[in-house]
Amino acid sequence: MIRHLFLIIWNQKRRNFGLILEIFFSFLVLFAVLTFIIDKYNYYRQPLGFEYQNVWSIYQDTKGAPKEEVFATQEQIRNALKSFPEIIDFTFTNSNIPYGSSRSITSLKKGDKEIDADIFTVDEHFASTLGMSLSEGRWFNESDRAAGYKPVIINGVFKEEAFGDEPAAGQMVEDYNDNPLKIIGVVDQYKYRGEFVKPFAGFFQRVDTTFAVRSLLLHVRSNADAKFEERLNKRLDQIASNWSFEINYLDEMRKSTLRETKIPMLIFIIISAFLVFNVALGLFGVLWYNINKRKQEIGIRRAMGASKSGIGRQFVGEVLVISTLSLALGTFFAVQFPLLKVFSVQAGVYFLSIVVSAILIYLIAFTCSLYPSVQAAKLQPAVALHDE
Amino acid sequence: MLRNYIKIAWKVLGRNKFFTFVSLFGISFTLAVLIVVISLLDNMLQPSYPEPDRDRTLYVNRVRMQNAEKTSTSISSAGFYFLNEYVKELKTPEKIGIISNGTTTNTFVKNRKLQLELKYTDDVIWEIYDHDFVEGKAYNAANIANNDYVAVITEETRDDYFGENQQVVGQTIVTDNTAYRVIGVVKNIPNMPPDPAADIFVPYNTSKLDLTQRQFLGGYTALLLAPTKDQMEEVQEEFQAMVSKIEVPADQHLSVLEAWAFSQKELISQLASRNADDNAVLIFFSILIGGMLLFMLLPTLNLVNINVSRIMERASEIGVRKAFGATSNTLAIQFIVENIILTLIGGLIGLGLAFLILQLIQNMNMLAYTQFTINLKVFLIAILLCVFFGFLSGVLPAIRMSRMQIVNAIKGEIK
Repeated sequence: MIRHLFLIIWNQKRRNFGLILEIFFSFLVLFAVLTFIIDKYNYYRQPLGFEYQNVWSIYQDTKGAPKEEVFATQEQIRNALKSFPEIIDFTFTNSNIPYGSSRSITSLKKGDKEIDADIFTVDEHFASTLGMSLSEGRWFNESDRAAGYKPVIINGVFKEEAFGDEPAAGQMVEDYNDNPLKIIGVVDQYKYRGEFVKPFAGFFQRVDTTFAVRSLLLHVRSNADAKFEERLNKRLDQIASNWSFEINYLDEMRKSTLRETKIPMLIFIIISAFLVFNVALGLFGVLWYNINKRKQEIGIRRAMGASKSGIGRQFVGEVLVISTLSLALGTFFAVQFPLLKVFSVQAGVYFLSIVVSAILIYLIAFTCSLYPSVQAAKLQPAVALHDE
Repeated sequence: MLRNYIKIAWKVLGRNKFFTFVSLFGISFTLAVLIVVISLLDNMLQPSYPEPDRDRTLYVNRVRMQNAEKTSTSISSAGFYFLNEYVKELKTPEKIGIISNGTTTNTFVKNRKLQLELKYTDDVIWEIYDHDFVEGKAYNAANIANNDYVAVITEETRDDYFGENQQVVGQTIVTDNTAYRVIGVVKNIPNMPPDPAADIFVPYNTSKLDLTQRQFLGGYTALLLAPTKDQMEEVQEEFQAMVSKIEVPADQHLSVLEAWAFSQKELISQLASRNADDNAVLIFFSILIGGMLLFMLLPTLNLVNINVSRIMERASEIGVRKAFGATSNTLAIQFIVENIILTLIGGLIGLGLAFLILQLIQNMNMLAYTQFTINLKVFLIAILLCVFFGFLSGVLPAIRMSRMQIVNAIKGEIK
């Protein structure tokens, strides 16, 4: 039966070539869009690793003030913030804060291995302000100030790359100047660039006197409102009237970060849905037309004793064979992506996407061929034979 | 003859309504998407409010400094010092204005927080930009010389801060803990690149920054207005000659200075490529055109398949015409013309759809205050696209049709 179907298709190869090409490109479009969506969704499912509710960020534009002056002023700010009952916790950090736009990358060495990683310069209150928990070891505390080593805390991706499944706390790594760093803790996840972004290796180091950090994160009570913000802003201005302070809410920064992924995703989905719908309509029309052209063939088959369902099955089968040929061609191209590692997408995502795209294509082809095939099956042999 | 073709095309369209619907649906949606993309791009490239001379303006908004070994690089907008001391000295440009990048400032009004985007500018900017003033006027050189704390705000800022449609000139607005006297109110400004928009504009010398520091990198952009479009290259050459003569003091860590004066086209291409590449314009437009062709591929294939089916319907007509001496070329051309007529009808529907989509984008304020118009140029490009699309999807079926054997064709069989 199937061999026979292939033969029919082969005999009509010129007519079917166009359909094969069309289904092939539809498959590639579906594959591309699904890969994008599945990839993003996979990252989205992974835990974020911190809390963004009721967290505010304050960027301090120090207008080029010298380092010592910044430290002194920040000490005053620290004391002032402690007097606000609305503030539960706060932390001074470098500007690569969650949902911010800035990034800072360096490489660390573990033996011969070099690992590129985000570097977060933070203080002792960072984990508590953002509600982060550690899977190993501890966060920075006052005892690190006098310690003879430079402590760091790494994230899960870094641990995976450097140590695999081995415990990492207590291990040593080196920075690019070969200075030893002692790992005192591990944070499983810290997806500071947003839910949709692929987690990247990263580590936290303690703020020290080498440079001044410019960002502040506040964990405020849920009743903190604009009135409080105005008071806070005034107080900050009293302390440092030459500086500018930019206050933002993390949940709003999160919304705009998510939008950067969601809007292109939506546009892709709409456009590819249109393309596929268009192809489905075209396929339906062409199949209907082709089947109508073959009334004589249907008549003869019916006269020779083929059942109605046999005719229907033949036409649906033909379309599915055409789809299979297109999918074979499409899969050949699609598997090149995981094989050649064109983008940094996991192989599993590609395969899932190939499978889902193929199922969708079969569904579309089946749906489009169903009505014309049923029409063909309904033909009376006498009518079909007298087509002319 | 063309009239005959049109007549035939019209009849064919009416014959199989389902096919006609499928064809028109595909054509119109495809062209609508392409027209939306083109008109968004056109909107960025063409002069529009508040930049009437965008097509002869150059933007100095990227400076790159490297150390002598080129191992360490810093790229950002220009420093005020660099623009004021060097760029302002250029001779060819008609006008040279300076405007800062926007900074978000906090202001509090009636227990509500407002975030205002604030830009520092000089007085010349107001001569290069041509804002519609609802009330008052811009600040001038005298205001800057007096170190006046004056501000020009947008209608939206006025409505949010003072209340809707108030007379506000002379009133005080406090943002970033600094008080400014409102001197003018302008119509809202679209924030399409190169982003002339802000909520409040104030004189550059009200900034808390020390502007006398020898800074080449910073948060400022200069706008150079060339006397004519043709003199833009001349301005760019003078600019580069000026940059190459600057000697950065050796005590600075990064001492190799490069800077660019981009036209709007280059600027948009740079935004897309993110590195200072000389071929950015070429790369950007090839990617754009390639992407559009790729997008057209599936609808074209679909149309080809439908067309191949449709000509089978007309096999006997073709046979008869051939038998009476019509050449293959005549038939092929006839079919292509018919197809182009079909795409043109689809194109008109597409234009309508595109207009609706653009209205939607505008009404939902997705791109703040941008006014979209489908102008003559976009319209002509759309027509051209239709013809191209029609030709592409018509040529293959036409060739197949014209090659039919008379005998087979009359019998209505196609091999």
